[in-house]
Amino acid sequence: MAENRAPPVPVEAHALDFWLGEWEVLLVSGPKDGENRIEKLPGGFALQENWIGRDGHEGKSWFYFYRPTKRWKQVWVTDSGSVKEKVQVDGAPAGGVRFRGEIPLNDGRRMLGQTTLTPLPDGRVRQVIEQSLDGGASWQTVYDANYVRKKK
Amino acid sequence: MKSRLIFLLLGASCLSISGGQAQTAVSSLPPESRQFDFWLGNWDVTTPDGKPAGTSTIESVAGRAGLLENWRDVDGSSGKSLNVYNPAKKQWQQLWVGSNGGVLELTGGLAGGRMVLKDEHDVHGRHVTERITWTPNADGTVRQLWEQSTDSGRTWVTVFDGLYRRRK
Repeated sequence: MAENRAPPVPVEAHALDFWLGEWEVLLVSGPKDGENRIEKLPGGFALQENWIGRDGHEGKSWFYFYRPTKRWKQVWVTDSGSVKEKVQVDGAPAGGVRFRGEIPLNDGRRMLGQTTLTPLPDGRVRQVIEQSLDGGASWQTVYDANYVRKKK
Repeated sequence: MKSRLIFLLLGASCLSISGGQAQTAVSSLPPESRQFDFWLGNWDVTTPDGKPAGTSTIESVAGRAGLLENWRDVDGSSGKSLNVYNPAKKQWQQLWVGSNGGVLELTGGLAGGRMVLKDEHDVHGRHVTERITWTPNADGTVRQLWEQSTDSGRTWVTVFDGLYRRRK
């Protein structure tokens, strides 16, 4: 897998840098839901999310900047075996990033999932996950949490 | 036993509705998730003429749902890949990111005991098919053959041919 010299990292590839670090994840409704560590992968074009839920469940996802489309993509893998794929879409609040993708349902219906990550002025990050069963006409929030940096 | 089955079914339905990160379902990985386990471990990788190509650690992640490759090339570059069986698409997927910024989105599956994953993309206006085949050998080694085709699979050029030996 010999590789050539690394090309410069485009500015869009830094769009998720605000999310790097070690976090405690608190639901906006109050309780802690888990912990997450976001790290850069070699080359600086991709991030790895290392999620451990309060319930002990683990998930890993990769967010990667896809040069051909100049858009970010996400692949999310959980210990239940489900795999979710999303691509960056417009519409996130200022400074934030939004991803959308189809989530397969066992009954054949098509559900859209949408994740929005937004840096807050106080250094926290808000993550909102929404779902739509009508092709994106209406959205229901299924997850709403704030990321608080772990104390060193 | 019956109550456990009901619990499992409930778990599965919770999972499909919630879809968020706070999932409370019972873990139930598909059997296919084990098909690539032959690649797990710490490896020294050599080229066909016996020269060192690099080292790699393939670790199990997300409760054994996925495999994470950590490649270090002798030339100083590195790369990682995330490998997972996608039950909805009934296929294996590998996402490779190299330290040079290269990304491969490979899909495929087990064929005749080998893992065969492909990616098709355009490079400077040319359509390129990448095919990577992992073959578990009887002696415990694994051969990784990476080939490219620019004529829709009629002819293939070897990009990388590595033999993985378990590190002592």
